[in-house]
Amino acid sequence: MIAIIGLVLGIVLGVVVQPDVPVILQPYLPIAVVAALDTLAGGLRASLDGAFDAHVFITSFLFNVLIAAFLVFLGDQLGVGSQLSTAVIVVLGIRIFSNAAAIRRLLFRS
Amino acid sequence: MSDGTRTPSTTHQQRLVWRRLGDALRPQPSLAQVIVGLLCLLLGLSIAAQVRESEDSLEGATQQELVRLLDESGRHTADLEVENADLERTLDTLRSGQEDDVAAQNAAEGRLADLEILAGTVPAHGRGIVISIADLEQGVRASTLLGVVQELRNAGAEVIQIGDVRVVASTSITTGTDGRLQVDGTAIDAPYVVRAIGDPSVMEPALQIPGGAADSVAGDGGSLAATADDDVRIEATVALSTPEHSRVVK
Repeated sequence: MIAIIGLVLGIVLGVVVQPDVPVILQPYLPIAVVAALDTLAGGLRASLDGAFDAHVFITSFLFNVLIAAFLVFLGDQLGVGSQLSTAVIVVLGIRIFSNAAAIRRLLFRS
Repeated sequence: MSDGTRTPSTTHQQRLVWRRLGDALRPQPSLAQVIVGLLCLLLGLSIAAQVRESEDSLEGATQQELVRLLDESGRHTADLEVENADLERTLDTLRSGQEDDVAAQNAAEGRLADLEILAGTVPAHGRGIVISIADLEQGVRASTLLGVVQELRNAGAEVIQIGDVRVVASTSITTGTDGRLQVDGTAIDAPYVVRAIGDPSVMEPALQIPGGAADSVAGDGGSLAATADDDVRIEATVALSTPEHSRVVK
């Protein structure tokens, strides 16, 4: 519940305050957001499984975000920034879909 | 990919899952939950910022849109350049106009100074001669004095003053009822002092020519002495009167 409140509050805050993304973070933020969404989906699925652990959630959240950003950074350094970004997005997208599918099966048994 | 997740097979299990969902949605004031909330807040903030960021970025634009934007900005640039050229031309025109104005003003100022000296409204100084006409017997007539002035003018005198009166175009030299000479209605007494600015080497001989001004004065019983001066100062001025009847012909 707190998570949903935080999410909504954050979006409202972002719309109201209109923060500028720092230039250094600009290439990494989209990937980091997708990674965080993936973690969120995973967390929801785990809580429905009865296996939710806040510590695991927090560490995986931070780790996923950092790794996603690092991969983009690495891709930029290697000159394959856009390809690697696409790869990361694809993998995260698959994960989000599979998590969503698991949640759906848990809730509706079909 | 449902690794580790079992699809609930009985209604009981199904109900358990829903209860877990309800548990997850119930706020639990623990530190971990607060941190989770904070992370989600951060996520929301990032989403909002990122959405706004990519709204006005060109990354998502199609090739056609980009071409159109490029065209538009190119056209805009061309328009601005044309405008710039126009404005620069205007600036040049104004600049040259200003220079013309300055030149015209200088010319007008020079002309004003000339005219002021001619009209006698300002004091003047320069090299010239000072003439002293002694008249012990009061015999010098107005016409004789006028002759002296004419002779000076003839010899190129630019500014003339008799006694304390500036001689200008409208100056009259008459004899008053008491027999004294009057210049513009002001009586003057002998010796009459005439100051003239001009070339002394022309004016002095002009007065002395036989049958000239000096001789006329001598004929009236007076005597004329002229001395050249490097700096004759003529302080007398006349006030301009507005012409009452005459109008400029246009």
